[in-house]
Amino acid sequence: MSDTVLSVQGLVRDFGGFRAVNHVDLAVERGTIHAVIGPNGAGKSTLFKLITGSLRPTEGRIVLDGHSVGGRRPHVIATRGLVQVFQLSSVCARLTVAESVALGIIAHRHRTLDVVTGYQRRARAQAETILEQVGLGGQAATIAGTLSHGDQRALEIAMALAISPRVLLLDEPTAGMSPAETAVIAQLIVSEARTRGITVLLSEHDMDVVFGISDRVTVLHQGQVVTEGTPDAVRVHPEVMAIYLGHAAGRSEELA
Amino acid sequence: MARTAPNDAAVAAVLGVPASAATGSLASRVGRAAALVAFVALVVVLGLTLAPANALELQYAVSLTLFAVATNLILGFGGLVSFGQGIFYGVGAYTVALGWMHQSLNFTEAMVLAPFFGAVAAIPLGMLALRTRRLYFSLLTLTMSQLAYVIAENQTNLTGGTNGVFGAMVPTWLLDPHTSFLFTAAIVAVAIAILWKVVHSPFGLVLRAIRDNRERVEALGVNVYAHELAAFVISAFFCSLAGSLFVVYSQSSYPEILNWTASGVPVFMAVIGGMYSFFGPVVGAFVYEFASHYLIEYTQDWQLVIGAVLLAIVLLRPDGLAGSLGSLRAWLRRRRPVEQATVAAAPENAEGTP
Repeated sequence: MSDTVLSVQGLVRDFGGFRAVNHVDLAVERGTIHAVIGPNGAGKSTLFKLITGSLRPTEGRIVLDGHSVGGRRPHVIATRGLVQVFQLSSVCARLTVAESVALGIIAHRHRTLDVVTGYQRRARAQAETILEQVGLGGQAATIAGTLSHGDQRALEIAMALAISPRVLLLDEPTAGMSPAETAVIAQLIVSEARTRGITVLLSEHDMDVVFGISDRVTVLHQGQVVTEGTPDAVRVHPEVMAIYLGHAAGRSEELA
Repeated sequence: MARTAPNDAAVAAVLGVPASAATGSLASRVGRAAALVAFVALVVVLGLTLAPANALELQYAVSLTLFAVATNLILGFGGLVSFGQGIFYGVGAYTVALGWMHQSLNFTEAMVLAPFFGAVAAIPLGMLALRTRRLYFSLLTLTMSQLAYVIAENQTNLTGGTNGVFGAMVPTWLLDPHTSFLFTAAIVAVAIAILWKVVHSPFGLVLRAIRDNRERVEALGVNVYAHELAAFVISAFFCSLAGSLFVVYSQSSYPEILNWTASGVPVFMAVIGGMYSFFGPVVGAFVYEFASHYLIEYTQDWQLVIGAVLLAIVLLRPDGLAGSLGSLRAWLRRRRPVEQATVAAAPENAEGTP
C-alpha cells in the first residue's frame, strides 16, 4: 500500500570535519504533505539542498520516483519532477508576473530553445489560469520585483506549479510573513496538494503551520532524524519536547 | 490614452521600449510600428540623398547598429558583459578579406559563410568563457580578444600582419556609395528583425530570466549553461555579419578591429542607448558614431569625452537614453492630469493638443 515518491537513504554530507547531515533516512508518501522540522542548524537546509542537487551528497542515495538522482545537477532533478521554492524570495525581478509563470510553462513544455513560434503568447494565456489559482489574477502585468513579500512567495509557488511537479519542495514557505499572509500561503499549499495530488515536502519554523497542514512530520536534530510520525505523535514525543524546550530555555538564557 | 499615444509611442519606438512593454495597447503598438517605419524610411532617404562621403559614414553607422544590437543580446538580455564580441566581428571581416587575398572564396560565398564562421568560433570560446561568471567572464573574453588580435597581427603570411588586407575585394557593383548603403541597410534590417524575433521568443524570455536569477531558472529544469551558450553563439553569428559589412564599407580588414577596445565599442553603444531596451543600442550606435565623428574635429581627446559621458550614464542612468525616456514619459503622464497647461507647452506634447 505504501507508495513512496521520494526516498532518502543513509544520506551524509560533510563540510570539512563537520557532519551537517548524518545518515538521514526519509520516505515521503505520494500525495502527502510532509514536514521536516528541527532547531536552527539541525541540517534542514542542507538536506533540502542535497535533495534538489544544489549540493552533492558525501554518501547515501536519493531516489525520486524510482530514479536515483543523488548528485545530479539541479535542472536535471527539476525535469524529473521535483521543484523547489527557495527560502528567500527569489523571483526574476525584471520579468512581469505573467512572464514569470509563462517561463515555468515554457520550461515544462521543453520550448526554451524555441526562437521561431509565438509559443510564449500561449504560455502567457495558460499562466493567467495559474495566477488566478494563487490569487495573483489581477497582477499579471506587474513587474515581479515590485510585488510585496507575500505576493512574491505566492508567485514563486505559481512558477513551481507551472512545471506540474510531482514533488514540491518548500524551504520555510512562510518565513518573514505576516500572520495573514502565512494563513493564505498555508491554505494555498493544502489546496494545491489536495486538488492536484502534488506531494509537498516542506521545512518550517512556524509550528502552527506544521501541525496544522502536515500529514507526516520528521524531526531533525544535529543532522540526525530524531523521530518521524503523525503531527499528534510528534507533538508529544519526549525527545522532541526536550529538544524544543531545551532550545527555548537556551534562548531565554541568552536574553537574560 | 489614444490622444497621446501616437506621439509618445513615436519617440518610444525610435529610442526603444523595454521588451516587457511590447504588450501595450493596440493603439500604442500601431504607433510604435509606424514610428519604426518612419525612422527606417528617414535613414534610407538620407542614405540615398546625402553626398557620397556622408552616405558612406551613415552606412558605417548602420552596420554598427547591428554590431551593438547583436552584442546586446547577451549584454542587456543575457546579463553577460563580453569584451570579446570584436573577435566575431573580426572573423566576419577577415573571412571576406582573406577569402579574397588567398583566392579561396568569392565575395558572395564569403559574405554567406562569414556569420557561420563566427558562430562556429563562438562554440569553443563560449564553452570556455561561460564556465566563469561576471567579472571573470568579462576578463576572460577580453583576454580572448587580445589573443585574436595578436594572432591577426603576427601571422603575417595568413593575415597580412599589422598592415592587414587592402584591395579590390568588393565587387564593382557595390562600389557606388548609395548602392552599398542600400545593401548594408537591407542586411542590417533583416538581421535586426531576426534578433527582435529571438528576444521576443520563448528563448528570449528564458534568457531574460537567467539574467535576473539563474538559480531560479535552473530550479525550473532549464540548463542555464546551454542556453547562455546558445545566446553567445547567436550573438557571434550576427557580430560576424556586422564584421563582414565592415569590409563592404572599408574594403579592408586589419588587426585593430580585433583590439579589445574595439570589443568595448558595442558595449558602450548599448549602455549609452539603453541595454534593457531592444532598440536602445541602435540609438546608442548612432549617438556614439556621430558624436565621436564630430568630437574628433575639435579635440584629440575625444575618447576622454566619451568616457566621461559613459561614466555619467553608468552612475546616473544605468538604463541609458531609452530608460531616461521611459522615466520622462512616466513623469509626463503623472503630471498631465494635474498640470495639463504646463505640460502642453512642452515640445514633446506639442502635437498632442489640438
